[in-house]
Amino acid sequence: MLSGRVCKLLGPALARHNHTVTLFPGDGIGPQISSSVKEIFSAADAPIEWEEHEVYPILEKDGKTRIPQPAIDSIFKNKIGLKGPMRTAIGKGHVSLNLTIRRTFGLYANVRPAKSVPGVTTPYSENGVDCVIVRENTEGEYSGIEHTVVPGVVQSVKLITRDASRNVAEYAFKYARDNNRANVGRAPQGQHHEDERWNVP
Amino acid sequence: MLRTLVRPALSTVSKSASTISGFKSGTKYGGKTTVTLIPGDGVGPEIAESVTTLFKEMSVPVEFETIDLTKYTLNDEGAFNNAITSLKRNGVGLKGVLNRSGDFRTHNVEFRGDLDTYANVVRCMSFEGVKTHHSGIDLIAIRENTEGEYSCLEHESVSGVVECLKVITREKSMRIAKFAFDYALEHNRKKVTCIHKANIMKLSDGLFKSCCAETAKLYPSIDYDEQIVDNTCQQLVINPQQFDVMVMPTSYVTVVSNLGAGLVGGAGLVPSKSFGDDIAVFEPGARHTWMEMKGMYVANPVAMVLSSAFMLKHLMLNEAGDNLITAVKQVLNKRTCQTRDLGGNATTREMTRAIISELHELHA
Repeated sequence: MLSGRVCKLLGPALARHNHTVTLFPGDGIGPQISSSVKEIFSAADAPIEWEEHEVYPILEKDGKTRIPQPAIDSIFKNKIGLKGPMRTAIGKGHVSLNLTIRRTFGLYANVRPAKSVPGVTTPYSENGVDCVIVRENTEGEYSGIEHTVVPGVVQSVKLITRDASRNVAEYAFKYARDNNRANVGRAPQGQHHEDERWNVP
Repeated sequence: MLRTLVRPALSTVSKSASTISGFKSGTKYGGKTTVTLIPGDGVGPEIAESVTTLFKEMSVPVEFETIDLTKYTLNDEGAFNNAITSLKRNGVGLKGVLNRSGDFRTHNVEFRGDLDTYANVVRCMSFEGVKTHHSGIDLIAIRENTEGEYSCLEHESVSGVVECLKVITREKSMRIAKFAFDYALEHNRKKVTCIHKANIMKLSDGLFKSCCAETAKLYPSIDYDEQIVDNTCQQLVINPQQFDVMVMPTSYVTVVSNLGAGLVGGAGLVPSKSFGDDIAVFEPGARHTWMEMKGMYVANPVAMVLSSAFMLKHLMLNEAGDNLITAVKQVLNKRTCQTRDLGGNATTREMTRAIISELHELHA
Protein backbone atom coordinates (compact mmCIF):
# COMPACT_ATOMS: atom_id res chain seq x y z
CA MET A 1 0.00 0.00 0.00
CA LEU A 2 1.58 3.29 -1.06
CA SER A 3 1.51 5.81 1.77
CA GLY A 4 2.60 9.40 2.21
CA ARG A 5 2.21 12.18 -0.28
CA VAL A 6 5.09 12.40 -2.68
CA CYS A 7 7.41 15.38 -2.43
CA LYS A 8 6.00 17.38 0.48
CA LEU A 9 8.02 20.46 1.34
CA LEU A 10 9.92 19.92 4.57
CA GLY A 11 11.69 23.29 4.76
CA PRO A 12 11.06 26.15 7.20
CA ALA A 13 8.88 29.21 6.52
CA LEU A 14 10.06 32.71 7.48
CA ALA A 15 8.35 34.90 10.04
CA ARG A 16 6.58 36.88 7.34
CA HIS A 17 5.42 33.57 5.81
CA ASN A 18 7.73 33.98 2.86
CA HIS A 19 9.53 30.93 1.60
CA THR A 20 13.25 31.16 1.09
CA VAL A 21 14.30 29.46 -2.10
CA THR A 22 17.86 28.82 -3.20
CA LEU A 23 18.62 30.06 -6.69
CA PHE A 24 21.44 28.78 -8.96
CA PRO A 25 21.31 31.00 -12.07
CA GLY A 26 23.59 28.71 -14.12
CA ASP A 27 25.52 29.34 -17.36
CA GLY A 28 24.85 30.76 -20.79
CA ILE A 29 21.31 32.07 -20.90
CA GLY A 30 20.87 30.95 -17.28
CA PRO A 31 21.41 34.34 -15.62
CA GLN A 32 19.01 36.05 -18.09
CA ILE A 33 16.14 33.62 -17.63
CA SER A 34 16.72 33.55 -13.86
CA SER A 35 16.46 37.32 -13.62
CA SER A 36 13.25 37.13 -15.69
CA VAL A 37 11.80 34.84 -13.05
CA LYS A 38 12.86 37.17 -10.24
CA GLU A 39 11.28 40.15 -11.98
CA ILE A 40 8.03 38.32 -12.64
CA PHE A 41 7.80 36.98 -9.10
CA SER A 42 8.45 40.44 -7.72
CA ALA A 43 5.77 41.96 -9.95
CA ALA A 44 3.34 39.27 -8.83
CA ASP A 45 4.28 39.94 -5.21
CA ALA A 46 4.99 36.23 -4.79
CA PRO A 47 5.98 35.35 -1.18
CA ILE A 48 9.41 34.10 -2.20
CA GLU A 49 12.80 35.28 -1.00
CA TRP A 50 15.73 34.27 -3.17
CA GLU A 51 19.07 33.11 -1.81
CA GLU A 52 21.34 33.25 -4.81
CA HIS A 53 24.52 31.16 -5.05
CA GLU A 54 27.14 30.55 -7.65
CA VAL A 55 27.88 26.96 -8.63
CA TYR A 56 31.23 25.93 -10.05
CA PRO A 57 33.23 22.71 -9.87
CA ILE A 58 35.79 22.18 -7.13
CA LEU A 59 38.17 19.28 -7.72
CA GLU A 60 39.00 17.46 -4.51
CA LYS A 61 42.27 15.69 -3.77
CA ASP A 62 40.61 12.26 -4.14
CA GLY A 63 39.59 13.14 -7.69
CA LYS A 64 35.92 13.75 -6.91
CA THR A 65 34.17 16.94 -7.96
CA ARG A 66 31.98 18.89 -5.60
CA ILE A 67 30.14 22.21 -5.63
CA PRO A 68 30.91 25.12 -3.24
CA GLN A 69 29.92 24.59 0.40
CA PRO A 70 27.71 27.73 0.68
CA ALA A 71 25.57 26.36 -2.17
CA ILE A 72 25.29 22.98 -0.46
CA ASP A 73 24.41 24.51 2.92
CA SER A 74 21.76 26.72 1.37
CA ILE A 75 19.90 23.82 -0.24
CA PHE A 76 20.05 21.70 2.88
CA LYS A 77 18.64 24.61 4.87
CA ASN A 78 15.87 25.63 2.48
CA LYS A 79 15.07 22.19 1.06
CA ILE A 80 13.99 23.79 -2.20
CA GLY A 81 15.84 25.33 -5.12
CA LEU A 82 15.49 26.74 -8.62
CA LYS A 83 18.32 26.00 -11.00
CA GLY A 84 19.30 27.37 -14.40
CA PRO A 85 21.02 25.32 -17.11
CA MET A 86 24.68 24.42 -16.44
CA ARG A 87 27.17 23.80 -19.17
CA THR A 88 29.17 20.57 -19.40
CA ALA A 89 32.30 20.38 -21.52
CA ILE A 90 32.16 17.75 -24.25
CA GLY A 91 34.72 14.98 -24.35
CA LYS A 92 36.89 16.53 -21.64
CA GLY A 93 36.81 18.71 -18.55
CA HIS A 94 35.09 18.32 -15.22
CA VAL A 95 32.21 16.02 -14.44
CA SER A 96 28.79 17.46 -15.23
CA LEU A 97 27.64 19.92 -12.56
CA ASN A 98 24.09 18.73 -13.10
CA LEU A 99 25.19 15.21 -12.18
CA THR A 100 27.18 16.47 -9.19
CA ILE A 101 24.18 18.37 -7.86
CA ARG A 102 21.94 15.30 -8.21
CA ARG A 103 24.42 13.19 -6.33
CA THR A 104 25.10 15.75 -3.60
CA PHE A 105 21.45 16.12 -2.73
CA GLY A 106 20.30 12.60 -3.57
CA LEU A 107 17.88 13.83 -6.22
CA TYR A 108 16.97 10.39 -7.45
CA ALA A 109 13.77 11.18 -9.37
CA ASN A 110 13.72 13.63 -12.24
CA VAL A 111 10.20 14.57 -13.30
CA ARG A 112 9.63 16.04 -16.76
CA PRO A 113 6.09 16.91 -17.70
CA ALA A 114 5.50 17.41 -21.42
CA LYS A 115 2.27 19.21 -22.08
CA SER A 116 1.05 20.99 -25.20
CA VAL A 117 0.90 24.71 -24.57
CA PRO A 118 -2.16 26.56 -25.93
CA GLY A 119 -0.95 29.15 -28.40
CA VAL A 120 2.15 27.21 -29.38
CA THR A 121 1.30 25.30 -32.56
CA THR A 122 3.18 22.10 -33.25
CA PRO A 123 2.38 19.15 -35.53
CA TYR A 124 1.15 17.42 -32.40
CA SER A 125 -1.16 20.19 -31.11
CA GLU A 126 -4.23 18.62 -32.67
CA ASN A 127 -4.20 15.54 -30.48
CA GLY A 128 -2.41 17.31 -27.67
CA VAL A 129 0.50 15.95 -25.67
CA ASP A 130 0.19 15.39 -21.92
CA CYS A 131 2.67 12.98 -20.47
CA VAL A 132 5.13 12.94 -17.59
CA ILE A 133 8.53 11.32 -17.78
CA VAL A 134 10.10 10.19 -14.53
CA ARG A 135 13.73 9.24 -14.78
CA GLU A 136 16.18 7.66 -12.38
CA ASN A 137 18.74 10.38 -11.96
CA THR A 138 21.71 9.00 -10.09
CA GLU A 139 22.93 5.89 -11.87
CA GLY A 140 22.70 4.09 -15.18
CA GLU A 141 24.83 5.34 -18.06
CA TYR A 142 25.30 8.58 -16.17
CA SER A 143 27.43 6.97 -13.51
CA GLY A 144 30.29 8.50 -15.46
CA ILE A 145 32.46 5.53 -14.53
CA GLU A 146 34.88 5.18 -17.41
CA HIS A 147 38.43 4.13 -17.96
CA THR A 148 40.87 3.39 -20.73
CA VAL A 149 41.68 -0.32 -20.64
CA VAL A 150 44.53 -0.09 -23.14
CA PRO A 151 45.15 2.79 -25.55
CA GLY A 152 42.31 2.80 -28.07
CA VAL A 153 39.90 0.73 -25.94
CA VAL A 154 37.55 2.51 -23.55
CA GLN A 155 35.09 1.00 -21.15
CA SER A 156 32.09 2.79 -19.69
CA VAL A 157 30.10 1.21 -16.89
CA LYS A 158 26.32 1.41 -16.73
CA LEU A 159 25.31 0.72 -13.18
CA ILE A 160 21.82 -0.35 -12.10
CA THR A 161 20.91 -1.21 -8.52
CA ARG A 162 17.76 -2.77 -7.15
CA ASP A 163 17.35 -0.07 -4.47
CA ALA A 164 17.56 2.88 -6.86
CA SER A 165 15.24 1.18 -9.34
CA ARG A 166 12.70 0.48 -6.60
CA ASN A 167 12.88 4.04 -5.28
CA VAL A 168 12.18 5.63 -8.61
CA ALA A 169 9.42 3.14 -9.45
CA GLU A 170 7.73 3.90 -6.13
CA TYR A 171 8.10 7.60 -6.80
CA ALA A 172 6.49 7.26 -10.23
CA PHE A 173 3.45 5.51 -8.81
CA LYS A 174 3.07 7.96 -5.93
CA TYR A 175 3.35 10.84 -8.38
CA ALA A 176 0.69 9.28 -10.62
CA ARG A 177 -1.60 8.74 -7.64
CA ASP A 178 -1.14 12.26 -6.26
CA ASN A 179 -1.62 13.89 -9.64
CA ASN A 180 -4.58 11.83 -10.80
CA ARG A 181 -2.75 10.12 -13.63
CA ALA A 182 -4.43 6.97 -14.90
CA ASN A 183 -1.52 4.70 -15.72
CA VAL A 184 2.22 4.27 -15.63
CA GLY A 185 4.12 2.74 -18.54
CA ARG A 186 7.75 1.77 -18.45
CA ALA A 187 10.26 2.26 -21.22
CA PRO A 188 13.29 0.04 -21.02
CA GLN A 189 15.49 -0.22 -24.09
CA GLY A 190 15.46 -3.24 -26.30
CA GLN A 191 12.97 -5.28 -28.28
CA HIS A 192 11.09 -6.16 -25.16
CA HIS A 193 8.87 -3.09 -24.91
CA GLU A 194 5.51 -4.76 -25.18
CA ASP A 195 3.34 -1.93 -24.02
CA GLU A 196 3.23 -2.72 -20.33
CA ARG A 197 1.06 -0.50 -18.21
CA TRP A 198 0.09 -0.81 -14.63
CA ASN A 199 -3.07 0.69 -13.21
CA VAL A 200 -2.49 3.03 -10.32
CA PRO A 201 -4.15 1.76 -7.11
CA MET B 1 28.30 14.95 -64.69
CA LEU B 2 31.59 13.41 -63.67
CA ARG B 3 31.84 12.48 -60.07
CA THR B 4 35.27 11.69 -58.74
CA LEU B 5 35.32 9.45 -55.76
CA VAL B 6 38.19 10.16 -53.45
CA ARG B 7 39.35 7.06 -51.61
CA PRO B 8 41.94 8.18 -49.09
CA ALA B 9 44.32 5.51 -47.89
CA LEU B 10 43.87 4.81 -44.22
CA SER B 11 46.48 2.56 -42.75
CA THR B 12 44.11 1.32 -40.05
CA VAL B 13 41.49 -0.04 -42.43
CA SER B 14 42.64 -2.12 -45.36
CA LYS B 15 39.41 -3.64 -46.69
CA SER B 16 36.38 -1.67 -47.72
CA ALA B 17 32.94 -2.94 -46.85
CA SER B 18 31.12 -4.92 -49.50
CA THR B 19 28.70 -2.12 -50.30
CA ILE B 20 31.33 0.11 -51.80
CA SER B 21 32.98 -2.27 -54.25
CA GLY B 22 29.78 -4.16 -54.99
CA PHE B 23 28.91 -7.75 -54.65
CA LYS B 24 32.21 -9.63 -54.54
CA SER B 25 31.62 -13.17 -53.45
CA GLY B 26 28.63 -15.46 -53.49
CA THR B 27 27.13 -18.67 -54.72
CA LYS B 28 25.89 -18.87 -58.28
CA TYR B 29 24.37 -21.91 -59.94
CA GLY B 30 22.94 -21.85 -63.45
CA GLY B 31 22.89 -18.07 -63.55
CA LYS B 32 20.94 -17.84 -60.28
CA THR B 33 22.43 -16.35 -57.13
CA THR B 34 21.74 -18.21 -53.90
CA VAL B 35 20.67 -16.01 -51.02
CA THR B 36 20.12 -17.12 -47.42
CA LEU B 37 16.59 -16.41 -46.21
CA ILE B 38 15.84 -16.42 -42.49
CA PRO B 39 12.13 -15.62 -42.11
CA GLY B 40 12.39 -14.91 -38.39
CA ASP B 41 9.75 -14.99 -35.68
CA GLY B 42 6.30 -13.52 -35.21
CA VAL B 43 5.03 -12.04 -38.48
CA GLY B 44 8.43 -12.72 -40.09
CA PRO B 45 7.36 -15.76 -42.16
CA GLU B 46 4.35 -13.87 -43.55
CA ILE B 47 6.33 -10.87 -44.77
CA ALA B 48 9.05 -13.19 -46.07
CA GLU B 49 6.35 -14.93 -48.10
CA SER B 50 5.57 -11.56 -49.71
CA VAL B 51 9.15 -11.33 -50.89
CA THR B 52 9.32 -14.87 -52.30
CA THR B 53 6.00 -14.33 -54.11
CA LEU B 54 7.21 -11.06 -55.60
CA PHE B 55 10.55 -12.48 -56.70
CA LYS B 56 8.78 -15.39 -58.40
CA GLU B 57 6.44 -13.00 -60.14
CA MET B 58 9.35 -10.85 -61.34
CA SER B 59 11.35 -13.97 -62.38
CA VAL B 60 14.35 -12.63 -60.51
CA PRO B 61 17.42 -14.93 -60.83
CA VAL B 62 17.64 -15.46 -57.10
CA GLU B 63 17.36 -18.81 -55.33
CA PHE B 64 16.51 -18.75 -51.63
CA GLU B 65 18.15 -21.07 -49.12
CA THR B 66 15.58 -20.87 -46.35
CA ILE B 67 16.64 -21.51 -42.78
CA ASP B 68 13.96 -21.59 -40.12
CA LEU B 69 15.18 -20.55 -36.71
CA THR B 70 11.77 -20.15 -35.07
CA LYS B 71 11.81 -23.34 -33.04
CA TYR B 72 15.41 -23.13 -31.93
CA THR B 73 16.91 -21.46 -28.91
CA LEU B 74 20.47 -20.46 -28.30
CA ASN B 75 21.00 -23.82 -26.61
CA ASP B 76 20.56 -25.57 -29.93
CA GLU B 77 23.72 -24.55 -31.68
CA GLY B 78 23.17 -26.72 -34.75
CA ALA B 79 20.51 -24.69 -36.52
CA PHE B 80 22.16 -21.44 -35.60
CA ASN B 81 25.53 -22.52 -36.94
CA ASN B 82 23.80 -23.65 -40.15
CA ALA B 83 22.51 -20.14 -40.62
CA ILE B 84 25.91 -18.59 -40.02
CA THR B 85 27.64 -21.06 -42.38
CA SER B 86 25.04 -20.45 -45.06
CA LEU B 87 25.46 -16.69 -44.81
CA LYS B 88 29.23 -16.93 -44.95
CA ARG B 89 29.00 -19.13 -48.02
CA ASN B 90 26.39 -17.11 -49.89
CA GLY B 91 27.61 -13.68 -48.84
CA VAL B 92 24.09 -12.24 -48.91
CA GLY B 93 21.12 -12.75 -46.64
CA LEU B 94 17.57 -11.57 -46.16
CA LYS B 95 16.44 -11.80 -42.60
CA GLY B 96 13.31 -11.24 -40.57
CA VAL B 97 13.51 -10.25 -36.92
CA LEU B 98 14.37 -12.94 -34.40
CA ASN B 99 12.54 -12.85 -31.11
CA ARG B 100 14.53 -11.93 -28.08
CA SER B 101 15.15 -15.03 -26.02
CA GLY B 102 15.65 -14.94 -22.30
CA ASP B 103 19.20 -16.08 -22.87
CA PHE B 104 22.35 -14.14 -22.37
CA ARG B 105 22.71 -12.70 -25.84
CA THR B 106 19.88 -12.21 -28.27
CA HIS B 107 19.90 -13.95 -31.62
CA ASN B 108 20.14 -10.70 -33.53
CA VAL B 109 23.23 -9.67 -31.60
CA GLU B 110 24.85 -13.10 -32.01
CA PHE B 111 24.48 -12.83 -35.76
CA ARG B 112 26.24 -9.51 -35.92
CA GLY B 113 29.09 -10.71 -33.76
CA ASP B 114 29.70 -13.96 -35.64
CA LEU B 115 29.43 -12.42 -39.08
CA ASP B 116 31.14 -9.16 -38.12
CA THR B 117 28.45 -7.21 -39.97
CA TYR B 118 29.74 -4.12 -38.33
CA ALA B 119 27.78 -1.44 -40.17
CA ASN B 120 24.01 -1.23 -39.86
CA VAL B 121 22.22 1.26 -42.09
CA VAL B 122 18.58 2.17 -41.43
CA ARG B 123 16.76 4.28 -44.01
CA CYS B 124 13.81 6.37 -42.84
CA MET B 125 12.11 8.02 -45.79
CA SER B 126 8.74 9.70 -46.10
CA PHE B 127 6.18 8.36 -48.55
CA GLU B 128 3.81 10.71 -50.30
CA GLY B 129 0.78 8.55 -49.68
CA VAL B 130 1.40 7.97 -45.98
CA LYS B 131 -0.13 10.65 -43.80
CA THR B 132 2.23 11.74 -41.03
CA HIS B 133 2.96 14.91 -39.05
CA HIS B 134 6.14 15.56 -41.02
CA SER B 135 7.00 15.03 -44.69
CA GLY B 136 10.12 15.18 -46.79
CA ILE B 137 12.22 13.05 -44.46
CA ASP B 138 15.06 10.99 -45.89
CA LEU B 139 17.50 10.18 -43.18
CA ILE B 140 20.04 7.43 -42.85
CA ALA B 141 21.08 6.19 -39.44
CA ILE B 142 24.37 4.28 -39.42
CA ARG B 143 25.49 2.43 -36.39
CA GLU B 144 28.48 0.50 -35.26
CA ASN B 145 26.88 -2.88 -34.84
CA THR B 146 29.31 -4.93 -32.82
CA GLU B 147 30.41 -3.03 -29.74
CA GLY B 148 29.18 -0.26 -27.48
CA GLU B 149 26.32 -1.03 -25.12
CA TYR B 150 25.46 -4.16 -27.05
CA SER B 151 28.76 -5.83 -26.18
CA CYS B 152 26.44 -7.68 -23.78
CA LEU B 153 28.97 -7.79 -21.01
CA GLU B 154 26.89 -7.73 -17.87
CA HIS B 155 27.42 -9.08 -14.40
CA GLU B 156 25.99 -8.76 -10.94
CA SER B 157 28.82 -7.49 -8.70
CA VAL B 158 26.87 -8.01 -5.49
CA SER B 159 23.23 -8.96 -5.10
CA GLY B 160 21.12 -6.02 -6.26
CA VAL B 161 23.90 -4.21 -8.14
CA VAL B 162 24.30 -4.88 -11.85
CA GLU B 163 26.98 -3.53 -14.15
CA CYS B 164 26.77 -3.37 -17.91
CA LEU B 165 29.95 -2.60 -19.79
CA LYS B 166 29.93 -0.39 -22.83
CA VAL B 167 33.13 -0.85 -24.79
CA ILE B 168 34.28 1.57 -27.47
CA THR B 169 37.49 0.98 -29.41
CA ARG B 170 39.40 3.27 -31.72
CA GLU B 171 39.70 0.59 -34.38
CA LYS B 172 35.97 -0.03 -34.72
CA SER B 173 35.09 3.64 -34.40
CA MET B 174 37.45 4.56 -37.24
CA ARG B 175 36.04 1.70 -39.31
CA ILE B 176 32.43 2.83 -38.95
CA ALA B 177 33.33 6.47 -39.50
CA LYS B 178 35.04 5.58 -42.77
CA PHE B 179 32.03 3.48 -43.75
CA ALA B 180 29.67 6.37 -43.07
CA PHE B 181 31.62 8.84 -45.16
CA ASP B 182 32.13 6.34 -48.00
CA TYR B 183 28.41 5.61 -47.93
CA ALA B 184 27.61 9.31 -48.06
CA LEU B 185 29.91 9.76 -51.06
CA GLU B 186 28.53 6.78 -52.91
CA HIS B 187 24.91 7.80 -52.41
CA ASN B 188 25.35 11.51 -53.12
CA ARG B 189 24.66 12.60 -49.57
CA LYS B 190 25.77 16.02 -48.37
CA LYS B 191 26.25 15.79 -44.63
CA VAL B 192 27.29 13.36 -41.91
CA THR B 193 26.29 14.08 -38.30
CA CYS B 194 27.93 12.30 -35.40
CA ILE B 195 25.45 11.61 -32.60
CA HIS B 196 26.97 11.19 -29.15
CA LYS B 197 26.71 11.83 -25.43
CA ALA B 198 30.29 12.88 -24.87
CA ASN B 199 29.45 15.54 -22.31
CA ILE B 200 28.65 12.75 -19.84
CA MET B 201 30.54 9.76 -21.28
CA LYS B 202 33.63 11.77 -22.01
CA LEU B 203 36.03 8.90 -22.64
CA SER B 204 33.87 6.41 -24.54
CA ASP B 205 31.66 8.66 -26.65
CA GLY B 206 34.52 11.15 -26.69
CA LEU B 207 36.68 8.56 -28.44
CA PHE B 208 33.91 7.74 -30.91
CA LYS B 209 33.36 11.40 -31.67
CA SER B 210 37.04 12.17 -32.17
CA CYS B 211 37.36 9.25 -34.58
CA CYS B 212 34.50 10.67 -36.64
CA ALA B 213 36.04 14.15 -36.61
CA GLU B 214 39.41 12.74 -37.68
CA THR B 215 37.82 10.83 -40.58
CA ALA B 216 35.80 13.88 -41.63
CA LYS B 217 39.01 15.75 -42.47
CA LEU B 218 39.69 13.20 -45.24
CA TYR B 219 36.35 13.92 -46.94
CA PRO B 220 36.29 17.68 -47.50
CA SER B 221 33.34 17.48 -49.90
CA ILE B 222 31.04 16.14 -47.18
CA ASP B 223 29.80 18.46 -44.42
CA TYR B 224 30.31 17.23 -40.90
CA ASP B 225 28.81 18.18 -37.58
CA GLU B 226 28.21 16.73 -34.15
CA GLN B 227 25.13 16.65 -31.97
CA ILE B 228 24.33 15.44 -28.48
CA VAL B 229 21.74 12.66 -28.63
CA ASP B 230 19.17 14.39 -26.40
CA ASN B 231 19.15 17.40 -28.68
CA THR B 232 18.93 15.03 -31.66
CA CYS B 233 15.71 13.54 -30.32
CA GLN B 234 14.25 16.96 -29.87
CA GLN B 235 15.33 18.03 -33.36
CA LEU B 236 13.88 14.86 -34.84
CA VAL B 237 10.39 15.74 -33.67
CA ILE B 238 10.65 19.43 -34.47
CA ASN B 239 12.56 19.46 -37.75
CA PRO B 240 13.52 15.96 -38.96
CA GLN B 241 14.23 17.18 -42.51
CA GLN B 242 17.55 18.65 -41.35
CA PHE B 243 19.12 15.21 -40.99
CA ASP B 244 20.99 13.47 -43.78
CA VAL B 245 23.42 10.74 -42.74
CA MET B 246 23.83 10.14 -39.00
CA VAL B 247 26.52 7.97 -37.48
CA MET B 248 26.49 6.84 -33.85
CA PRO B 249 27.43 4.10 -31.40
CA THR B 250 25.04 1.18 -31.11
CA SER B 251 22.36 2.03 -28.61
CA TYR B 252 21.42 5.50 -29.84
CA VAL B 253 20.44 4.11 -33.21
CA THR B 254 17.78 1.96 -31.61
CA VAL B 255 16.16 5.11 -30.29
CA VAL B 256 16.85 7.29 -33.34
CA SER B 257 15.77 4.74 -35.96
CA ASN B 258 12.56 3.89 -34.12
CA LEU B 259 11.87 7.60 -33.72
CA GLY B 260 12.55 8.00 -37.44
CA ALA B 261 10.27 5.06 -38.19
CA GLY B 262 7.47 6.66 -36.19
CA LEU B 263 7.94 9.92 -38.06
CA VAL B 264 7.59 8.33 -41.51
CA GLY B 265 4.67 6.09 -40.68
CA GLY B 266 5.79 3.15 -38.58
CA ALA B 267 8.00 0.11 -38.32
CA GLY B 268 6.28 -1.44 -41.32
CA LEU B 269 7.92 1.03 -43.70
CA VAL B 270 11.57 1.12 -42.71
CA PRO B 271 14.20 -1.08 -44.40
CA SER B 272 17.75 -1.64 -43.26
CA LYS B 273 20.94 -3.37 -44.29
CA SER B 274 23.99 -4.58 -42.42
CA PHE B 275 27.43 -4.83 -43.96
CA GLY B 276 30.58 -6.66 -43.08
CA ASP B 277 33.67 -6.86 -45.25
CA ASP B 278 32.32 -9.87 -47.18
CA ILE B 279 28.72 -10.24 -46.08
CA ALA B 280 25.57 -8.18 -46.47
CA VAL B 281 22.37 -8.88 -44.56
CA PHE B 282 19.11 -7.11 -45.38
CA GLU B 283 16.30 -6.87 -42.82
CA PRO B 284 13.51 -4.58 -41.59
CA GLY B 285 14.90 -1.51 -39.82
CA ALA B 286 12.80 -1.39 -36.68
CA ARG B 287 13.09 -4.70 -34.88
CA HIS B 288 9.54 -5.70 -34.03
CA THR B 289 8.35 -9.27 -34.35
CA TRP B 290 4.72 -8.47 -33.43
CA MET B 291 4.29 -11.91 -31.91
CA GLU B 292 0.61 -11.36 -31.03
CA MET B 293 -0.34 -11.11 -34.70
CA LYS B 294 1.57 -14.16 -35.84
CA GLY B 295 -0.36 -16.13 -38.42
CA MET B 296 -2.99 -13.43 -38.96
CA TYR B 297 -1.44 -11.94 -42.09
CA VAL B 298 -2.09 -8.35 -41.05
CA ALA B 299 1.49 -7.14 -41.04
CA ASN B 300 2.76 -4.53 -43.48
CA PRO B 301 5.33 -6.23 -45.75
CA VAL B 302 6.78 -2.97 -47.12
CA ALA B 303 9.82 -2.87 -44.82
CA MET B 304 10.81 -6.41 -45.78
CA VAL B 305 10.02 -5.84 -49.46
CA LEU B 306 12.09 -2.62 -49.57
CA SER B 307 14.95 -4.43 -47.81
CA SER B 308 14.75 -7.14 -50.49
CA ALA B 309 14.75 -4.46 -53.22
CA PHE B 310 17.96 -3.00 -51.77
CA MET B 311 19.31 -6.53 -51.76
CA LEU B 312 18.56 -6.84 -55.49
CA LYS B 313 20.49 -3.64 -56.14
CA HIS B 314 23.39 -4.98 -54.09
CA LEU B 315 23.35 -8.07 -56.32
CA MET B 316 23.65 -5.70 -59.32
CA LEU B 317 20.06 -6.50 -60.36
CA ASN B 318 19.40 -2.78 -60.42
CA GLU B 319 16.42 -2.74 -62.76
CA ALA B 320 14.53 -5.29 -60.74
CA GLY B 321 15.36 -3.48 -57.52
CA ASP B 322 14.30 -0.08 -58.84
CA ASN B 323 11.07 -1.48 -60.31
CA LEU B 324 10.19 -3.02 -56.98
CA ILE B 325 10.83 0.23 -55.11
CA THR B 326 8.74 2.20 -57.64
CA ALA B 327 5.89 -0.33 -57.39
CA VAL B 328 5.88 -0.08 -53.58
CA LYS B 329 5.82 3.72 -53.70
CA GLN B 330 2.92 3.62 -56.19
CA VAL B 331 0.88 1.35 -53.93
CA LEU B 332 1.49 3.64 -50.94
CA ASN B 333 0.73 6.79 -52.94
CA LYS B 334 -2.55 5.46 -54.29
CA ARG B 335 -3.78 4.72 -50.75
CA THR B 336 -6.27 2.17 -52.00
CA CYS B 337 -4.55 -0.75 -50.32
CA GLN B 338 -3.46 -0.05 -46.76
CA THR B 339 -2.58 -2.43 -43.95
CA ARG B 340 -3.61 -1.73 -40.34
CA ASP B 341 -0.61 0.40 -39.47
CA LEU B 342 -1.50 2.71 -42.35
CA GLY B 343 -5.11 3.05 -41.28
CA GLY B 344 -6.70 0.45 -43.54
CA ASN B 345 -7.55 -3.21 -43.16
CA ALA B 346 -5.78 -4.87 -46.06
CA THR B 347 -3.99 -8.14 -45.42
CA THR B 348 -0.34 -8.84 -46.08
CA ARG B 349 -1.28 -10.88 -49.15
CA GLU B 350 -3.55 -8.14 -50.50
CA MET B 351 -0.68 -5.70 -50.18
CA THR B 352 1.58 -8.13 -52.06
CA ARG B 353 -0.99 -8.47 -54.85
CA ALA B 354 -1.25 -4.69 -55.10
CA ILE B 355 2.52 -4.45 -55.53
CA ILE B 356 2.36 -7.17 -58.20
CA SER B 357 -0.28 -5.30 -60.20
CA GLU B 358 1.85 -2.14 -60.05
CA LEU B 359 4.79 -4.16 -61.37
CA HIS B 360 2.64 -5.37 -64.27
CA GLU B 361 1.72 -1.77 -65.03
CA LEU B 362 5.37 -0.78 -65.09
CA HIS B 363 6.07 -3.43 -67.68
CA ALA B 364 3.02 -2.65 -69.77
